[in-house]
Amino acid sequence: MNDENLNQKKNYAPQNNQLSLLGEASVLTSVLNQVSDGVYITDPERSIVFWNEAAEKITGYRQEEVLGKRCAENLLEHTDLAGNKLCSTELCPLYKAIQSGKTPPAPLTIKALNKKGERIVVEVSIAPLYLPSGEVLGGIEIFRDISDKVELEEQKARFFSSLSHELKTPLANMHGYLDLLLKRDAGDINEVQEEFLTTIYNEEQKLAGYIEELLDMGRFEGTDYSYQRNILDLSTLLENLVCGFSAEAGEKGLGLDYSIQPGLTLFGDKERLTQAFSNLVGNAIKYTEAGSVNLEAGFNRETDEILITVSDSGMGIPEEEQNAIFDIFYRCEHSQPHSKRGTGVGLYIVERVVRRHDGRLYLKSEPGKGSIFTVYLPGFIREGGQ
Amino acid sequence: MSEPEAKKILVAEDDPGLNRLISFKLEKEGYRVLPVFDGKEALKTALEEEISAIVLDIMMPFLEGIQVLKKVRIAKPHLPVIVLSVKSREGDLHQALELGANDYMTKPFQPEKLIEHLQKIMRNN
Repeated sequence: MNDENLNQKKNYAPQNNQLSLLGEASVLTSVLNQVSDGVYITDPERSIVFWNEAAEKITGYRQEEVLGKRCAENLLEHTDLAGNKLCSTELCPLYKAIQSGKTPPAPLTIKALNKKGERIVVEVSIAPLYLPSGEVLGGIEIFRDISDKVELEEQKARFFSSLSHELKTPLANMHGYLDLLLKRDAGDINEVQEEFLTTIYNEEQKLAGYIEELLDMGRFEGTDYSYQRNILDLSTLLENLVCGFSAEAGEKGLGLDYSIQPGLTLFGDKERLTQAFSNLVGNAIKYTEAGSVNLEAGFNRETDEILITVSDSGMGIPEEEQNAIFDIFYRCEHSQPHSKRGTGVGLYIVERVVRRHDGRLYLKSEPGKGSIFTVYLPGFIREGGQ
Repeated sequence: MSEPEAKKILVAEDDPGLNRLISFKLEKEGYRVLPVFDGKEALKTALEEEISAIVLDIMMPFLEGIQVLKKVRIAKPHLPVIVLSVKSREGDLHQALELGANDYMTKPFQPEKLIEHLQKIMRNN
Protein backbone atom coordinates (compact mmCIF):
# COMPACT_ATOMS: atom_id res chain seq x y z
CA MET A 1 0.00 0.00 0.00
CA ASN A 2 1.52 3.33 -0.92
CA ASP A 3 1.46 6.44 1.17
CA GLU A 4 -1.06 8.20 -1.03
CA ASN A 5 -3.63 5.48 -0.43
CA LEU A 6 -3.05 5.54 3.26
CA ASN A 7 -3.36 9.29 3.36
CA GLN A 8 -6.64 9.13 1.55
CA LYS A 9 -7.87 6.68 4.12
CA LYS A 10 -6.75 8.92 6.84
CA ASN A 11 -8.98 11.64 5.43
CA TYR A 12 -11.93 9.33 5.50
CA ALA A 13 -11.23 8.00 8.87
CA PRO A 14 -12.73 10.73 11.05
CA GLN A 15 -16.12 10.76 9.30
CA ASN A 16 -16.61 7.13 8.39
CA ASN A 17 -16.25 4.11 10.55
CA GLN A 18 -13.34 1.87 9.67
CA LEU A 19 -15.67 -0.78 8.30
CA SER A 20 -16.68 1.30 5.36
CA LEU A 21 -13.17 2.56 5.08
CA LEU A 22 -12.01 -0.96 4.50
CA GLY A 23 -15.10 -1.83 2.52
CA GLU A 24 -14.06 0.70 -0.02
CA ALA A 25 -10.69 -0.86 -0.35
CA SER A 26 -12.34 -3.48 -2.52
CA VAL A 27 -9.13 -4.59 -4.15
CA LEU A 28 -7.59 -5.20 -0.81
CA THR A 29 -10.69 -7.05 0.28
CA SER A 30 -10.67 -9.38 -2.67
CA VAL A 31 -6.97 -10.03 -2.24
CA LEU A 32 -7.50 -10.90 1.40
CA ASN A 33 -10.35 -13.18 0.45
CA GLN A 34 -8.06 -15.12 -1.85
CA VAL A 35 -5.50 -16.03 0.78
CA SER A 36 -5.87 -19.31 2.59
CA ASP A 37 -4.95 -17.88 5.98
CA GLY A 38 -7.62 -16.37 8.14
CA VAL A 39 -7.27 -12.60 8.33
CA TYR A 40 -9.11 -10.16 10.52
CA ILE A 41 -8.63 -6.52 11.20
CA THR A 42 -9.77 -4.60 14.25
CA ASP A 43 -10.09 -0.98 15.19
CA PRO A 44 -8.00 0.39 18.07
CA GLU A 45 -10.59 -0.90 20.57
CA ARG A 46 -10.22 -4.38 19.10
CA SER A 47 -13.66 -4.42 17.47
CA ILE A 48 -13.57 -6.53 14.35
CA VAL A 49 -13.94 -4.48 11.16
CA PHE A 50 -12.83 -7.02 8.61
CA TRP A 51 -13.05 -10.81 8.47
CA ASN A 52 -11.94 -12.70 5.37
CA GLU A 53 -13.37 -15.87 3.83
CA ALA A 54 -10.62 -18.10 5.16
CA ALA A 55 -11.42 -16.83 8.65
CA GLU A 56 -15.04 -17.90 8.06
CA LYS A 57 -13.87 -21.30 6.93
CA ILE A 58 -11.47 -21.88 9.82
CA THR A 59 -13.71 -20.63 12.61
CA GLY A 60 -17.15 -21.37 11.17
CA TYR A 61 -18.27 -17.81 11.99
CA ARG A 62 -19.59 -15.76 9.11
CA GLN A 63 -18.47 -12.20 8.60
CA GLU A 64 -21.82 -10.73 9.62
CA GLU A 65 -21.72 -12.64 12.91
CA VAL A 66 -18.45 -11.13 14.02
CA LEU A 67 -18.26 -7.64 12.57
CA GLY A 68 -18.41 -5.04 15.27
CA LYS A 69 -17.81 -7.60 17.99
CA ARG A 70 -14.76 -7.06 20.09
CA CYS A 71 -12.26 -9.83 19.72
CA ALA A 72 -11.95 -9.50 23.47
CA GLU A 73 -15.55 -10.61 23.92
CA ASN A 74 -14.26 -14.12 24.00
CA LEU A 75 -15.93 -15.06 20.76
CA LEU A 76 -13.21 -17.56 19.96
CA GLU A 77 -12.12 -18.10 23.54
CA HIS A 78 -8.47 -17.75 22.76
CA THR A 79 -6.21 -19.51 25.19
CA ASP A 80 -2.56 -20.37 25.08
CA LEU A 81 -1.71 -24.05 24.92
CA ALA A 82 -1.68 -24.29 28.70
CA GLY A 83 -5.26 -23.00 28.79
CA ASN A 84 -4.58 -19.48 30.07
CA LYS A 85 -7.28 -17.16 28.79
CA LEU A 86 -5.86 -14.47 26.58
CA CYS A 87 -8.91 -12.37 25.74
CA SER A 88 -9.88 -9.49 28.02
CA THR A 89 -6.56 -9.66 29.81
CA GLU A 90 -3.33 -7.79 29.53
CA LEU A 91 -2.03 -10.98 27.95
CA CYS A 92 -4.05 -10.51 24.77
CA PRO A 93 -1.30 -10.35 22.15
CA LEU A 94 -3.35 -8.04 19.93
CA TYR A 95 -3.90 -5.63 22.81
CA LYS A 96 -0.19 -5.67 23.53
CA ALA A 97 0.67 -5.09 19.89
CA ILE A 98 -1.72 -2.14 19.60
CA GLN A 99 -0.57 -0.66 22.90
CA SER A 100 3.14 -1.01 22.27
CA GLY A 101 3.10 -0.55 18.51
CA LYS A 102 5.40 -3.53 18.29
CA THR A 103 4.92 -6.64 16.24
CA PRO A 104 5.52 -9.82 18.20
CA PRO A 105 8.70 -11.37 16.80
CA ALA A 106 7.23 -14.78 16.07
CA PRO A 107 3.85 -16.29 15.32
CA LEU A 108 2.03 -17.44 18.43
CA THR A 109 0.36 -20.76 18.81
CA ILE A 110 -3.09 -20.24 20.21
CA LYS A 111 -6.04 -22.47 20.91
CA ALA A 112 -9.41 -21.20 19.83
CA LEU A 113 -12.97 -22.46 19.80
CA ASN A 114 -14.73 -22.77 16.46
CA LYS A 115 -18.45 -22.23 16.04
CA LYS A 116 -19.17 -25.90 16.54
CA GLY A 117 -17.41 -25.68 19.88
CA GLU A 118 -14.39 -27.68 18.77
CA ARG A 119 -10.92 -26.71 19.87
CA ILE A 120 -8.71 -25.70 17.01
CA VAL A 121 -5.07 -24.75 17.15
CA VAL A 122 -4.02 -21.76 15.12
CA GLU A 123 -0.73 -20.11 14.48
CA VAL A 124 -1.29 -16.40 14.75
CA SER A 125 0.76 -13.50 13.44
CA ILE A 126 -0.19 -10.17 14.87
CA ALA A 127 0.68 -6.63 13.98
CA PRO A 128 -0.53 -3.14 14.86
CA LEU A 129 -1.82 -1.07 11.94
CA TYR A 130 -0.58 2.46 11.78
CA LEU A 131 -1.01 5.38 9.51
CA PRO A 132 2.21 7.07 8.46
CA SER A 133 1.16 9.93 10.72
CA GLY A 134 1.47 7.56 13.65
CA GLU A 135 -2.26 7.37 14.26
CA VAL A 136 -3.39 3.94 15.39
CA LEU A 137 -5.71 2.38 12.85
CA GLY A 138 -6.10 -0.90 14.71
CA GLY A 139 -4.58 -4.32 14.55
CA ILE A 140 -4.40 -7.24 12.20
CA GLU A 141 -4.36 -10.94 12.98
CA ILE A 142 -3.42 -13.54 10.42
CA PHE A 143 -4.05 -17.09 11.48
CA ARG A 144 -3.43 -20.52 10.08
CA ASP A 145 -5.18 -23.69 11.17
CA ILE A 146 -2.45 -26.05 12.37
CA SER A 147 -4.68 -28.48 14.26
CA ASP A 148 -3.62 -31.41 12.06
CA LYS A 149 0.06 -30.64 12.40
CA VAL A 150 -0.25 -30.30 16.14
CA GLU A 151 -2.03 -33.64 16.27
CA LEU A 152 0.85 -35.19 14.34
CA GLU A 153 3.39 -33.71 16.71
CA GLU A 154 1.43 -35.02 19.65
CA GLN A 155 1.48 -38.46 18.10
CA LYS A 156 5.21 -38.17 17.65
CA ALA A 157 5.66 -37.14 21.27
CA ARG A 158 3.58 -40.13 22.39
CA PHE A 159 5.73 -42.36 20.21
CA PHE A 160 8.91 -41.04 21.77
CA SER A 161 7.51 -41.41 25.22
CA SER A 162 6.64 -45.05 24.65
CA LEU A 163 9.92 -45.72 22.82
CA SER A 164 11.77 -44.19 25.72
CA HIS A 165 9.96 -46.49 28.11
CA GLU A 166 10.64 -49.54 25.95
CA LEU A 167 14.36 -48.78 25.73
CA LYS A 168 14.86 -47.84 29.33
CA THR A 169 13.06 -50.75 30.95
CA PRO A 170 15.49 -53.50 29.90
CA LEU A 171 18.45 -51.28 30.76
CA ALA A 172 17.07 -50.58 34.20
CA ASN A 173 16.63 -54.32 34.75
CA MET A 174 20.18 -55.03 33.59
CA HIS A 175 21.37 -52.39 35.96
CA GLY A 176 19.46 -53.97 38.81
CA TYR A 177 20.90 -57.44 38.20
CA LEU A 178 24.47 -56.18 37.78
CA ASP A 179 24.12 -54.24 40.98
CA LEU A 180 22.89 -57.37 42.68
CA LEU A 181 25.82 -59.48 41.42
CA LEU A 182 28.40 -56.84 42.29
CA LYS A 183 27.02 -56.46 45.79
CA ARG A 184 27.43 -60.24 46.21
CA ASP A 185 23.71 -60.55 46.85
CA ALA A 186 23.67 -63.64 44.64
CA GLY A 187 26.79 -65.17 46.15
CA ASP A 188 30.52 -64.74 45.89
CA ILE A 189 32.34 -63.75 42.72
CA ASN A 190 36.06 -63.80 42.04
CA GLU A 191 38.21 -60.81 41.21
CA VAL A 192 38.20 -61.30 37.44
CA GLN A 193 34.45 -61.80 37.41
CA GLU A 194 34.08 -58.62 39.41
CA GLU A 195 36.28 -56.72 36.96
CA PHE A 196 34.25 -57.93 33.98
CA LEU A 197 30.92 -57.27 35.64
CA THR A 198 32.13 -53.79 36.50
CA THR A 199 32.98 -53.25 32.86
CA ILE A 200 29.48 -54.36 31.83
CA TYR A 201 28.07 -52.09 34.50
CA ASN A 202 30.00 -49.07 33.22
CA GLU A 203 29.07 -49.80 29.62
CA GLU A 204 25.45 -50.12 30.61
CA GLN A 205 25.64 -46.73 32.34
CA LYS A 206 27.14 -45.19 29.22
CA LEU A 207 24.47 -46.72 27.01
CA ALA A 208 21.74 -45.46 29.31
CA GLY A 209 23.21 -41.96 29.11
CA TYR A 210 23.37 -42.08 25.33
CA ILE A 211 19.80 -43.31 25.02
CA GLU A 212 18.66 -40.54 27.34
CA GLU A 213 20.38 -37.88 25.26
CA LEU A 214 19.30 -39.27 21.92
CA LEU A 215 15.72 -39.41 23.11
CA ASP A 216 16.05 -35.82 24.25
CA MET A 217 17.21 -34.95 20.78
CA GLY A 218 14.30 -36.83 19.24
CA ARG A 219 11.91 -34.87 21.39
CA PHE A 220 13.64 -31.64 20.45
CA GLU A 221 13.89 -32.29 16.75
CA GLY A 222 10.23 -31.56 16.14
CA THR A 223 9.12 -28.77 13.91
CA ASP A 224 8.16 -25.40 15.25
CA TYR A 225 4.64 -26.63 15.70
CA SER A 226 5.67 -28.98 18.44
CA TYR A 227 7.02 -26.01 20.35
CA GLN A 228 4.47 -24.83 22.80
CA ARG A 229 4.28 -21.14 23.34
CA ASN A 230 2.69 -20.70 26.70
CA ILE A 231 2.94 -17.79 29.05
CA LEU A 232 5.83 -18.77 31.19
CA ASP A 233 7.21 -17.36 34.40
CA LEU A 234 10.89 -17.73 33.57
CA SER A 235 12.07 -16.32 36.90
CA THR A 236 10.43 -19.14 38.83
CA LEU A 237 11.54 -21.73 36.29
CA LEU A 238 15.18 -20.63 36.60
CA GLU A 239 15.10 -20.41 40.36
CA ASN A 240 13.71 -23.93 40.72
CA LEU A 241 16.19 -25.18 38.19
CA VAL A 242 19.23 -23.70 39.95
CA CYS A 243 18.03 -25.00 43.31
CA GLY A 244 17.74 -28.44 41.76
CA PHE A 245 21.46 -28.37 41.03
CA SER A 246 22.60 -27.32 44.50
CA ALA A 247 23.30 -30.87 45.66
CA GLU A 248 25.39 -31.62 42.58
CA ALA A 249 27.42 -28.43 42.99
CA GLY A 250 27.75 -29.07 46.72
CA GLU A 251 29.19 -32.53 46.12
CA LYS A 252 31.98 -30.99 44.06
CA GLY A 253 32.49 -28.23 46.60
CA LEU A 254 31.43 -25.58 44.09
CA GLY A 255 29.56 -22.41 44.89
CA LEU A 256 26.26 -22.05 43.08
CA ASP A 257 24.89 -18.52 43.11
CA TYR A 258 22.05 -16.88 41.33
CA SER A 259 20.46 -13.52 40.97
CA ILE A 260 17.14 -13.55 39.15
CA GLN A 261 14.89 -10.57 38.56
CA PRO A 262 11.30 -11.54 39.44
CA GLY A 263 8.53 -11.37 36.87
CA LEU A 264 10.53 -12.38 33.78
CA THR A 265 7.89 -13.68 31.41
CA LEU A 266 7.84 -15.00 27.87
CA PHE A 267 5.82 -17.10 25.50
CA GLY A 268 7.73 -20.32 25.54
CA ASP A 269 7.97 -24.04 25.83
CA LYS A 270 8.45 -24.89 29.48
CA GLU A 271 9.86 -28.37 29.01
CA ARG A 272 12.34 -27.34 26.37
CA LEU A 273 13.54 -24.20 28.12
CA THR A 274 14.01 -26.20 31.31
CA GLN A 275 16.05 -28.71 29.36
CA ALA A 276 18.16 -26.01 27.71
CA PHE A 277 19.02 -24.19 30.92
CA SER A 278 19.60 -27.50 32.71
CA ASN A 279 22.12 -28.37 30.03
CA LEU A 280 23.90 -25.03 30.51
CA VAL A 281 24.01 -25.19 34.30
CA GLY A 282 24.76 -28.94 34.27
CA ASN A 283 27.68 -28.43 31.88
CA ALA A 284 29.02 -25.54 33.93
CA ILE A 285 29.09 -27.76 37.02
CA LYS A 286 30.46 -30.75 35.13
CA TYR A 287 33.42 -28.89 33.68
CA THR A 288 34.29 -26.84 36.76
CA GLU A 289 36.56 -28.36 39.37
CA ALA A 290 36.91 -25.42 41.74
CA GLY A 291 35.29 -22.07 42.28
CA SER A 292 31.69 -21.38 41.43
CA VAL A 293 28.88 -21.42 38.93
CA ASN A 294 26.69 -18.38 38.65
CA LEU A 295 23.35 -17.71 36.96
CA GLU A 296 22.01 -14.23 36.44
CA ALA A 297 18.77 -13.21 34.78
CA GLY A 298 17.44 -9.74 34.15
CA PHE A 299 15.43 -7.66 31.72
CA ASN A 300 16.51 -5.08 29.19
CA ARG A 301 13.62 -2.65 28.76
CA GLU A 302 15.15 -1.04 25.71
CA THR A 303 15.24 -4.19 23.64
CA ASP A 304 12.42 -6.03 25.46
CA GLU A 305 14.75 -8.90 26.01
CA ILE A 306 15.39 -11.23 28.89
CA LEU A 307 19.07 -11.70 29.47
CA ILE A 308 20.40 -14.84 31.14
CA THR A 309 24.05 -15.55 31.81
CA VAL A 310 25.52 -18.78 33.09
CA SER A 311 29.14 -18.39 34.08
CA ASP A 312 31.65 -20.73 35.61
CA SER A 313 35.25 -20.78 36.73
CA GLY A 314 35.89 -24.02 34.91
CA MET A 315 38.34 -25.28 32.35
CA GLY A 316 37.09 -22.97 29.62
CA ILE A 317 36.88 -23.66 25.91
CA PRO A 318 39.77 -22.87 23.53
CA GLU A 319 38.96 -20.27 20.91
CA GLU A 320 39.35 -22.68 18.01
CA GLU A 321 36.61 -24.88 19.45
CA GLN A 322 34.17 -22.17 20.40
CA ASN A 323 32.34 -22.13 17.11
CA ALA A 324 31.98 -25.88 16.91
CA ILE A 325 30.58 -26.56 20.36
CA PHE A 326 26.99 -25.91 19.31
CA ASP A 327 27.24 -28.45 16.49
CA ILE A 328 25.51 -31.72 17.00
CA PHE A 329 27.76 -34.55 18.26
CA TYR A 330 30.66 -32.18 18.85
CA ARG A 331 32.69 -33.02 21.91
CA CYS A 332 35.53 -30.85 23.09
CA GLU A 333 38.92 -32.37 22.39
CA HIS A 334 40.26 -31.29 25.72
CA SER A 335 37.61 -32.75 27.99
CA GLN A 336 39.41 -35.36 30.04
CA PRO A 337 38.99 -38.92 28.80
CA HIS A 338 37.91 -40.15 32.20
CA SER A 339 35.34 -37.50 32.84
CA LYS A 340 31.80 -38.40 31.88
CA ARG A 341 31.67 -37.53 28.21
CA GLY A 342 28.36 -36.71 26.71
CA THR A 343 27.09 -37.43 23.23
CA GLY A 344 27.68 -33.89 22.09
CA VAL A 345 23.97 -33.24 22.07
CA GLY A 346 23.63 -30.96 25.11
CA LEU A 347 24.70 -27.61 23.71
CA TYR A 348 23.15 -28.42 20.34
CA ILE A 349 19.82 -28.64 22.16
CA VAL A 350 20.48 -25.35 23.94
CA GLU A 351 21.22 -23.61 20.66
CA ARG A 352 18.11 -25.00 18.97
CA VAL A 353 15.79 -24.20 21.83
CA VAL A 354 17.09 -20.64 22.09
CA ARG A 355 16.80 -20.14 18.35
CA ARG A 356 13.25 -21.53 18.29
CA HIS A 357 12.35 -18.95 20.91
CA ASP A 358 13.77 -16.26 18.62
CA GLY A 359 16.61 -15.76 21.01
CA ARG A 360 20.35 -15.52 20.67
CA LEU A 361 23.14 -17.40 22.37
CA TYR A 362 26.72 -16.26 22.87
CA LEU A 363 29.79 -17.80 24.41
CA LYS A 364 32.76 -16.02 25.93
CA SER A 365 35.46 -18.27 27.23
CA GLU A 366 39.08 -18.36 28.17
CA PRO A 367 40.84 -21.66 28.78
CA GLY A 368 41.73 -22.07 32.42
CA LYS A 369 39.55 -19.18 33.51
CA GLY A 370 36.01 -20.23 32.70
CA SER A 371 33.13 -19.73 30.34
CA ILE A 372 30.18 -17.38 30.15
CA PHE A 373 27.12 -18.37 28.15
CA THR A 374 24.74 -15.50 27.48
CA VAL A 375 21.19 -16.05 26.28
CA TYR A 376 18.88 -13.31 25.01
CA LEU A 377 15.19 -14.16 24.78
CA PRO A 378 12.37 -11.85 23.69
CA GLY A 379 10.00 -11.41 26.58
CA PHE A 380 8.43 -9.02 29.00
CA ILE A 381 8.19 -8.21 32.66
CA ARG A 382 5.03 -8.99 34.55
CA GLU A 383 4.91 -6.50 37.35
CA GLY A 384 4.47 -8.15 40.70
CA GLY A 385 5.39 -11.31 38.83
CA GLN A 386 3.82 -14.36 40.35
CA MET B 1 14.87 -60.65 59.28
CA SER B 2 13.99 -63.71 61.36
CA GLU B 3 12.47 -66.78 59.79
CA PRO B 4 9.29 -67.44 61.84
CA GLU B 5 7.56 -64.17 60.94
CA ALA B 6 8.24 -64.51 57.19
CA LYS B 7 5.60 -62.22 55.75
CA LYS B 8 4.05 -62.95 52.38
CA ILE B 9 4.29 -60.24 49.76
CA LEU B 10 2.47 -60.27 46.46
CA VAL B 11 4.62 -58.94 43.61
CA ALA B 12 2.37 -58.12 40.64
CA GLU B 13 4.58 -56.99 37.77
CA ASP B 14 4.27 -58.21 34.19
CA ASP B 15 7.91 -57.58 33.26
CA PRO B 16 9.53 -60.92 34.23
CA GLY B 17 12.98 -59.34 34.59
CA LEU B 18 11.80 -56.73 37.01
CA ASN B 19 9.47 -59.10 38.84
CA ARG B 20 12.29 -61.56 39.52
CA LEU B 21 14.63 -58.76 40.58
CA ILE B 22 12.14 -57.38 43.10
CA SER B 23 11.22 -60.85 44.31
CA PHE B 24 14.87 -61.84 44.75
CA LYS B 25 15.58 -58.72 46.78
CA LEU B 26 12.54 -59.28 48.95
CA GLU B 27 13.47 -62.90 49.57
CA LYS B 28 16.95 -61.73 50.58
CA GLU B 29 15.23 -59.57 53.17
CA GLY B 30 13.46 -62.62 54.52
CA TYR B 31 10.03 -62.24 52.96
CA ARG B 32 8.06 -64.91 51.16
CA VAL B 33 7.17 -63.73 47.71
CA LEU B 34 4.17 -64.58 45.56
CA PRO B 35 5.10 -63.39 42.07
CA VAL B 36 2.32 -62.87 39.52
CA PHE B 37 2.50 -61.47 36.00
CA ASP B 38 -0.95 -60.16 35.15
CA GLY B 39 -3.80 -58.26 36.74
CA LYS B 40 -6.27 -61.12 36.97
CA GLU B 41 -3.79 -63.35 38.75
CA ALA B 42 -2.89 -60.43 41.01
CA LEU B 43 -6.50 -59.91 42.09
CA LYS B 44 -7.11 -63.60 42.65
CA THR B 45 -3.98 -63.99 44.77
CA ALA B 46 -4.60 -60.77 46.70
CA LEU B 47 -8.09 -61.92 47.67
CA GLU B 48 -7.33 -65.56 48.39
CA GLU B 49 -3.97 -65.43 50.12
CA GLU B 50 -3.05 -64.14 53.54
CA ILE B 51 -0.57 -61.46 52.46
CA SER B 52 1.14 -58.57 54.21
CA ALA B 53 1.57 -56.20 51.29
CA ILE B 54 1.28 -55.80 47.52
CA VAL B 55 3.78 -54.43 45.05
CA LEU B 56 1.43 -53.51 42.23
CA ASP B 57 2.37 -52.46 38.71
CA ILE B 58 -0.25 -50.13 37.26
CA MET B 59 0.12 -51.24 33.64
CA MET B 60 -0.60 -54.95 33.42
CA PRO B 61 -2.28 -57.26 30.94
CA PHE B 62 -5.86 -58.54 31.39
CA LEU B 63 -6.68 -56.27 34.31
CA GLU B 64 -5.09 -52.90 34.97
CA GLY B 65 -3.47 -52.32 38.33
CA ILE B 66 -6.00 -49.58 39.07
CA GLN B 67 -8.88 -52.07 38.79
CA VAL B 68 -7.01 -54.54 40.98
CA LEU B 69 -6.47 -51.82 43.56
CA LYS B 70 -10.14 -50.81 43.53
CA LYS B 71 -11.32 -54.35 44.22
CA VAL B 72 -8.62 -55.11 46.76
CA ARG B 73 -9.43 -51.94 48.70
CA ILE B 74 -13.03 -53.08 49.13
CA ALA B 75 -12.03 -56.48 50.48
CA LYS B 76 -8.91 -55.46 52.38
CA PRO B 77 -9.07 -51.75 53.15
CA HIS B 78 -5.92 -51.68 55.27
CA LEU B 79 -3.57 -53.85 53.23
CA PRO B 80 -0.38 -51.90 52.42
CA VAL B 81 -0.08 -51.36 48.67
CA ILE B 82 2.79 -49.75 46.81
CA VAL B 83 2.17 -49.03 43.13
CA LEU B 84 4.70 -48.96 40.30
CA SER B 85 4.31 -46.71 37.32
CA VAL B 86 6.18 -44.75 34.71
CA LYS B 87 6.51 -41.01 34.86
CA SER B 88 4.51 -40.48 31.69
CA ARG B 89 1.43 -41.97 33.37
CA GLU B 90 1.13 -39.44 36.16
CA GLY B 91 -2.63 -39.46 35.89
CA ASP B 92 -2.72 -43.13 36.83
CA LEU B 93 -0.53 -42.44 39.82
CA HIS B 94 -2.84 -39.75 41.14
CA GLN B 95 -5.78 -42.06 40.67
CA ALA B 96 -3.99 -44.88 42.48
CA LEU B 97 -3.18 -42.65 45.44
CA GLU B 98 -6.77 -41.44 45.56
CA LEU B 99 -7.93 -45.04 45.57
CA GLY B 100 -5.84 -45.63 48.65
CA ALA B 101 -2.44 -46.81 47.47
CA ASN B 102 -0.05 -46.16 50.37
CA ASP B 103 2.96 -45.22 48.28
CA TYR B 104 4.36 -45.32 44.76
CA MET B 105 7.58 -45.74 42.80
CA THR B 106 8.21 -44.44 39.30
CA LYS B 107 10.24 -46.67 37.02
CA PRO B 108 13.12 -46.99 36.77
CA PHE B 109 13.88 -47.20 40.48
CA GLN B 110 16.45 -48.88 42.67
CA PRO B 111 15.04 -52.10 44.15
CA GLU B 112 16.55 -51.10 47.52
CA LYS B 113 14.42 -47.97 47.51
CA LEU B 114 11.31 -50.00 46.82
CA ILE B 115 12.04 -52.23 49.79
CA GLU B 116 12.72 -49.21 51.98
CA HIS B 117 9.37 -47.68 51.05
CA LEU B 118 7.57 -50.98 51.40
CA GLN B 119 8.95 -51.59 54.88
CA LYS B 120 7.98 -48.11 55.91
CA ILE B 121 4.34 -48.46 54.89
CA MET B 122 4.18 -51.90 56.50
CA ARG B 123 5.52 -50.46 59.75
CA ASN B 124 2.99 -47.65 59.69
CA ASN B 125 0.17 -50.04 59.14
